[in-house]
Amino acid sequence: MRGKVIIFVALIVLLAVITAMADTSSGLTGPQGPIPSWDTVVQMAKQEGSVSWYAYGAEYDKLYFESLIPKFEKQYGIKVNFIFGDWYAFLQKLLTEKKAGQSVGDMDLVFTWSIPFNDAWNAGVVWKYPWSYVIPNARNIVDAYLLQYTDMIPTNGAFVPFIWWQVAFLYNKQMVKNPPQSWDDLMAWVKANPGKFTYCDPNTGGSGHTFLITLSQWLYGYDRYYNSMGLPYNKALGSELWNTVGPKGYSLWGYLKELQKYMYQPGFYPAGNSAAISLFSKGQVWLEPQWLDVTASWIKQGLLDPNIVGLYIPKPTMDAGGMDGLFIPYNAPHKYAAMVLANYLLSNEVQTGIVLDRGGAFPVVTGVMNKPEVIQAIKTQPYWVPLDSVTNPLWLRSGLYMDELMKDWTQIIAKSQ
Amino acid sequence: MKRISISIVSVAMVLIIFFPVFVIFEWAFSTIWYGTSLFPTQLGFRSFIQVIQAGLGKSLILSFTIAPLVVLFSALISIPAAYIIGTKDIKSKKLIENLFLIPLIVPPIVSGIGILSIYTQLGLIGNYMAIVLVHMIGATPYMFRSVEASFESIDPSIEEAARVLGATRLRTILRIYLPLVTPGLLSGSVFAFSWSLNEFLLTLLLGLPNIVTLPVFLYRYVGGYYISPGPASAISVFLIVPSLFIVYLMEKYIKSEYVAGAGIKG
Amino acid sequence: MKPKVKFSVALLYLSPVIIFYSFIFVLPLILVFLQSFGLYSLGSTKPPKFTLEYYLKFFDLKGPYLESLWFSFWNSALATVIISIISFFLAIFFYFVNFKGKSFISATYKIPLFIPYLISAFAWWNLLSPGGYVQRLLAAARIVNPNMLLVNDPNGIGIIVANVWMNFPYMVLLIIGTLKMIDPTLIEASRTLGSTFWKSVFKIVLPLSMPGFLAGSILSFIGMFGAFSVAFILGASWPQYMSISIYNDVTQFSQYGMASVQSVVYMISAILITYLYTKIIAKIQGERK
Repeated sequence: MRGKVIIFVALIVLLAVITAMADTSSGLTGPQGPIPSWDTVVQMAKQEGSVSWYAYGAEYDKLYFESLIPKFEKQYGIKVNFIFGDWYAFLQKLLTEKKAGQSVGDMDLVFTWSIPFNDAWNAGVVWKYPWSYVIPNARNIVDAYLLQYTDMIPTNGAFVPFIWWQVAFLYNKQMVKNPPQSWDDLMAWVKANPGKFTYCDPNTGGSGHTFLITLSQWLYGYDRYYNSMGLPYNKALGSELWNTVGPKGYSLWGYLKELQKYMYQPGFYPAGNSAAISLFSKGQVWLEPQWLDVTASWIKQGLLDPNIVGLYIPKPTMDAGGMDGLFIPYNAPHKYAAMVLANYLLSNEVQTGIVLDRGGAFPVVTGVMNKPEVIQAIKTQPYWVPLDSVTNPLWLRSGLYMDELMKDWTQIIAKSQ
Repeated sequence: MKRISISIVSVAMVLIIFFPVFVIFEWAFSTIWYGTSLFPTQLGFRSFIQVIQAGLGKSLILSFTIAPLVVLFSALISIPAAYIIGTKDIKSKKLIENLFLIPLIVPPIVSGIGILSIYTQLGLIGNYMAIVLVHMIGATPYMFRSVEASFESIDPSIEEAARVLGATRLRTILRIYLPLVTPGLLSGSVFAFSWSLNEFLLTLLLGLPNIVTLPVFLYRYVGGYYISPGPASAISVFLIVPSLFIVYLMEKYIKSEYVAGAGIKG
Repeated sequence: MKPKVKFSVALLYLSPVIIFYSFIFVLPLILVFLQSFGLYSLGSTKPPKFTLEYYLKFFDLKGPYLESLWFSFWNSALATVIISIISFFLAIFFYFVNFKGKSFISATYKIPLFIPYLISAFAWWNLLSPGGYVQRLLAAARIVNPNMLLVNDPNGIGIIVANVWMNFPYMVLLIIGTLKMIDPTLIEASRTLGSTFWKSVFKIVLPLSMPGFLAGSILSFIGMFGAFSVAFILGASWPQYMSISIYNDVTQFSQYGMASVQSVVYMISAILITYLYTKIIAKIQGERK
């Protein structure tokens, strides 16, 4: 009998020890009242001494971000704890910390994109302080509007853009002499070249959803989305709109269904940006919307022949963004240090590196695009679009409508087969 | 006739099994391979260097330290249960055996989203030991079944004899049974180990950002934001080579029917 | 005879396992269950409130969820049938035929057991996607239409191929295991009575190896039905495996309620299928005896 009890007790203790391992840390909280001077912020940041930066992205982003850390640490003497993962995991962590009433967490600066930011804001896990007006480098932002909105979602200054991703039309230079220069020509081109156009499943790749939202803006007029900005998001407006025939003679769903008939493998959508560019690389398709950075990474990896790569922005435009960026969680222990790190990430040096080292993404601050070495790089590397085609006009994606589009698309277009 | 069918089956088998493995090696060593060409146009070690720099070593260490712990703990909780079910006549034996199958039947994503709630609440997301526990969910049934089968085959009079000679039950278990169930324990360990090494979904859901085991590390290159065939294949090579070694060892030392349990792992 | 032990004593020995599974398995499932009725929520700070909204959405005949469930079912079932047929013949082959190099071949076919699902799925994605070796071969041999999609396709062909490749060795092993338990003199007797090899296989070996065979097929089926990695890499935008749909709802859209309902139904389906299957099989076997 004693033997039994010993085994039993030992196992219970073991399991109890394993399960009961929650950790909490303590720290300072940031400014609460009036906006402090930048010198004060830097000083306080140095006192805090460390900052935890949570980021997501592809391998090339990780490598670039990691390369920045030693430089920042050297310059400010603030230790950076870099954590690379997925944005939904970060969001979930914050949500539960909030629910558990944890006032001091361990995330200081989170790199994410518009939709998760919006979810975080609505759940009350964002530090509601207009710190985008505190950090000096944010004054150089390409458009002051980006300090108030990301993908047209209001940020109230609590979100600072960091990288400007851009989708363009990628076409096979060897096979296609006259790609459709404007959205008006797209349908005709696809019909004239059946089976040679594709766009990726918008739920698995951003080039797909950026394509959809830009297309819908072209169909119904950008104003329809622009005017809704700042107003509460109206789901019904979207659903109704996309079923009505717009000035171009199509409803959105009607256009996509018509397009589908002439696309590569009607009814098939590549699962993600990479699957789409893989088809392009194999010569299966000749035209598709694609991210510049994905194109860049495929060329760098020796997977895509640079000689067939042609990139351009169709007229009137392809939406700029996402302008993925940074927010500080409500329970960040090192808010000053987070602001100093964010400021560093917006510095001319780091933003230039986005073009030259990371490649395939644009800077979010002015004073970079006109540097001779940047102009030279954009001219010579195959994975860029001409600079003037992205600077004017700076159309933006409408995040919430885009999110709705993604969900409806699966039901209306992917399922229509 | 017989000759021909033997050759056909053998050749088909080798082709079907090695074709995917071959392609993985091809990708791992290619540095330039445009989609239009049939073979890589340039070979090299770039992908290997890339994954090593990206932290393959850390993932290897994580995977190969978590798996033994999973084996150890699942053995610890399975042995008492297997002992009582395997050597004694108890009520509802069949029911209990069937209950052990339920963790294998319920899709991992289902328990996963429930555990997600609990772990986030307890702050256990990304916790090392918490991941060990999660891996044990699927590993324990295999461990239990193998060990139980071993207990089952032991002559029940052995225990009586030992008890008559004055040994306590704990002593009997340790001294008499344990050596006899070692084969079952071994094959159970192989299943548990392989389960843990392969576990992907729950580790992805509950382990990020700290716990990047090999499958999760691999996922970054095949299912994440980009598909990068080169690095993904390089990681696969690191996984396939030891696997081939295990196949060889198993063929040599363990009855192959025991290996069957390793089949469920996704 | 094994000594009888009181159930309460047995329970003591079972307690480590029971405690473990209560915390890590049963409790989470209860939470999922509660969440599916809106009685608990990870995502929102709103007070819990009972609702059938998510269930109604799930069982909406025009909605996507039932179709996902059906797709997961038939796709895995088809793969199971293919696996069963291939494995049966291979098992017969390995059990009855001896030849030089057999040990090499029988080691070879076990390799897929040791390759993680994610890698296998990725390898097949490579082979079957347009321009991949297998796709080119099949198209050149005119077995498939050159334009036919073999991965990320609405019929889940890629999923089936990869699943078969990954799961057949397991079945072969199981069937060989049961074949070993058949008294070899039975087969010999039938052969001496003048029946052909294949006739004796179908008349004697097949019925006798049925139990192991059927148990193996349900295990394969359940594994594939609930699996994630393969469908994740090789699946289409639509239809989706239920596991993918749940994963997207949790990670992309933060729809925990909907994800929970899908999970509950998914789980119940898996258990129910296993249960009914074993019942029916037991009945058929019983009748035969």
